[in-house]
Amino acid sequence: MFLFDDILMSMMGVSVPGLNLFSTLELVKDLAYKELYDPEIIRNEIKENRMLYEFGDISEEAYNTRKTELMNQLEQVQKLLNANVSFL
Amino acid sequence: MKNKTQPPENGIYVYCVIRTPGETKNFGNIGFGGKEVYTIDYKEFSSVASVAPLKKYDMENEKEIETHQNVVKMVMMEHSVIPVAYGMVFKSRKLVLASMKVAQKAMKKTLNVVEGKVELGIKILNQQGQASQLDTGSCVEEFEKELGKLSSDSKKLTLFSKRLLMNTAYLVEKDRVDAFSDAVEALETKYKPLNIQYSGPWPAYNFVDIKILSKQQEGGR
Repeated sequence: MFLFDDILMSMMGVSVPGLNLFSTLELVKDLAYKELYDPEIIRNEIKENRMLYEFGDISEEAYNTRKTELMNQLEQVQKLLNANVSFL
Repeated sequence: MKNKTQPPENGIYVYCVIRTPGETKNFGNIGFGGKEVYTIDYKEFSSVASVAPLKKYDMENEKEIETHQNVVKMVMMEHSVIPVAYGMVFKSRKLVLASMKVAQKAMKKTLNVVEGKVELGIKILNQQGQASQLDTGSCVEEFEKELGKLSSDSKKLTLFSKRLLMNTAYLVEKDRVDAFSDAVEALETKYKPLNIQYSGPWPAYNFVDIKILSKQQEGGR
């Protein structure tokens, strides 16, 4: 069975504006997921949070709250990566 | 079946490597869990180590990173150190010695790079929400030019935040640290609206292969 999607249509040289929009939205969603679930990006945010605290740009309370959020996020991502779940 | 709540068994945690002080040395009870930090000697090198849990040491555990840093800082007061990656724990003393044997050549090479030198760090942070009159590009250039003159080597590190303008590590000879600090102070005064963080002295983490005792050891940079 053929999959009637925008990729197949594009391959055939047919462009359907509505379907192209879906394709763009999918791409944006994938990029957002990639950013949300990339441990390197989360680690950089942990470093940034620490740096802003050291520079006195954020309070100790704000630092600790953000740190807890990021650590939990990282832990969840590590679990998902260990379980070999892919987002792209 | 193993009980999940059972603590991990102990291994030997290595903080850094130094040139053998001549006899086994004790640095006090400053290791993980207040354990004694001592030297394990192999020919002309000594691993500075303590008994510690055989587990994964998380990069996000600030308390444990601080313990590692404090031990290295203490050792640095008397010795030139070859830094070892945080979290390097071995199953036994025998395995530490075996790794030192394998890494001996790399350690020699590395010690030549770091002997008598320390690492100093400079971070420049752009101020948030304020349109600065400063040309930040030429400010960074001037920092690089002036501090480059006083260091043996430098390494640009990741700009992990959009607000970071500069994040550089400098390898500086111990007797030039004061001159380096004076230069940083002068630049700080000149570029006052910018936030500047000057840190160190650190062991030369960014100028040597800190995985020197691990399987991936490749020797000095």
